Amino acid sequence: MKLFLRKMAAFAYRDFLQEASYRVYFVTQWSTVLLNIVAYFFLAQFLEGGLKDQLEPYGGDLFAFLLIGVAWGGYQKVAVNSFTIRIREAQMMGTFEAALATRTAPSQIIIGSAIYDFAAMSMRVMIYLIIGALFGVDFSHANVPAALVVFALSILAFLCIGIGSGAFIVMYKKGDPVSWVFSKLGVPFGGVLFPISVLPDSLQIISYCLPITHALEGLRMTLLKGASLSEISGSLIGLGVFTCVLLPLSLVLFHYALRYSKERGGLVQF
Amino acid sequence: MNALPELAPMSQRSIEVRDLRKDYPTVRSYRRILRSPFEREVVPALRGISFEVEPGQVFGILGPNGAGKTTLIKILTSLISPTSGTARVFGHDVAVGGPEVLSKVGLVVSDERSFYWRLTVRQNLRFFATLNDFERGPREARIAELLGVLGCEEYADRPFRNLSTGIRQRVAVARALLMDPPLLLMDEPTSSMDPRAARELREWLRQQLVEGSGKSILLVTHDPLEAEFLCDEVAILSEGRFVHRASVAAMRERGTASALWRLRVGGWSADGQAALLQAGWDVREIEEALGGLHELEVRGGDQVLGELLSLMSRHGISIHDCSRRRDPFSAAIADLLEEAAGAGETS
Repeated sequence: MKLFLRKMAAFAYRDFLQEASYRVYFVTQWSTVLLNIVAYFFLAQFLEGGLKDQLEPYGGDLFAFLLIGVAWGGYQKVAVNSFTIRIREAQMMGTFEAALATRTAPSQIIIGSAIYDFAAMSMRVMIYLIIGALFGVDFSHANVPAALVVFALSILAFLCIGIGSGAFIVMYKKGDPVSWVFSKLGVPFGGVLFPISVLPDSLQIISYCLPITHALEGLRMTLLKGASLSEISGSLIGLGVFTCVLLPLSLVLFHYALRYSKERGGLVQF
Repeated sequence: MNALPELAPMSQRSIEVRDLRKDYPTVRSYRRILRSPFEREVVPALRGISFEVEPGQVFGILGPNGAGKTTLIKILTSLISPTSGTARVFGHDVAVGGPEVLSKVGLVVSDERSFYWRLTVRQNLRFFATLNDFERGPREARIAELLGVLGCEEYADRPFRNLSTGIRQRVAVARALLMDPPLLLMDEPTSSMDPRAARELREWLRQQLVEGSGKSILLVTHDPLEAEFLCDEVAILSEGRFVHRASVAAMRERGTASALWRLRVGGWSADGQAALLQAGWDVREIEEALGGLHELEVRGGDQVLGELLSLMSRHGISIHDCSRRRDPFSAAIADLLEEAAGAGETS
């Protein structure tokens, strides 16, 4: 475990050094976080009152609703995009082959390739929450331990999606249906920008098939309303089912992808 | 083609490859997929090769592009699975892969892009050392040692992108040596280096790694000079088969008759040319040089060249310049590749 963590830290540090070396890009990326918060604040002011009934279960504050939706939507974005982008980048640069020729298992290389993006996203979420609080979002009732449980389960579910999409990239280089499904459906049906209760009942079925819906529901309830674990049991069961199904599925898929690529000589091609 | 020697029972040979075959599935057009969705077409990259590399031996593989050389290297590093046959590295099956194989092997490729260009040399080596299970203390010591041995200390904290090709290649060797592996797999290690840097690296590899440390090297190269300098034994790979395998000395011997000389002569005449051809010399006139001199190309080894020169002298042909265009080893390689290409066309 210690060795695994040291390797993950090495991946994160490598990507941090690379990102930080592009100074203008690095600064603009982090400035965007602040500008987004300002934009969501004024958007919420503008729309305030329009979704009053639907926002009531979450405390009635649209800005707080948007803030958590966008912050955790970012985690899903990292999960579905980061693995594919980083692996493909490494394949094209030639560094993937060099990493595979070390004693580190391919599965760890895949996870490590996205670890910095997850860490950077966590920093962004922290900034979202801190500045949100400065802008008046009330977290005084937050049930932090329950929120951390939802957070951990949702990260695990997102990680499974990421490993699954990484498997497709290892096999087919471009064109990843896992990433496509979750990134395209997440925003309109996942409750990122508006409560899913505004959707017709038939479309809400799609929402419940997405882990982000359960993650956002659980996080908003715990952070904004101070809900207990029993009060968000539906979200926890949803996330638990997703994790139980997706974890073995993504690992089997990834194992198959490695074998497939090794047989076709495509592991280091692009 | 030379008969391959019988392999001894499995031992701790550096590499032991038996009847190794690799077929790649072809990419089929949409039309063909629709017509016959379950048909499987393959392109053979390796067609059942066998060889072994003993500890401390440098084994070279030469061959044209597409011969299967890089496929072989990737199979030995577990990046590609063989279709059939076995390949073992110090007794470990590469098809199973894992740390047992990878800790015995250092891979040196000519691709400079296999490093992170925006990181420094030290940062690159730290990253790869961590992936090879190094703890911080031993990692720093090993990196410092390798940078010192390879003469790269002054470049340690420079970004990789700011280094010359020669230094980058030395860093690639340093990375391969992090684990102090007993076997190095080198895929055209000097292909993008200038002649001086390439010579220095070759000399270092031969003196320090092979003669000094007793490491084995499997060298894949296009450069006969590199193979002749570094290798004990070479094999010619063409279309996935070994068409010839011999020691470097035997290869030189074989190429003696095919060595190529370039002569600049005066007094060249039709009579003189006829006399030389009649005596069995493979003489070809290349061009008429300035001042009435003629450029000739002659095939033959060192020991027989003397006879040719005295024959020319007897026919009034004066020698103004004589230089070797192709050494016996390179000549043997070129002849074998030509033969293999000819055989491929007729088969």
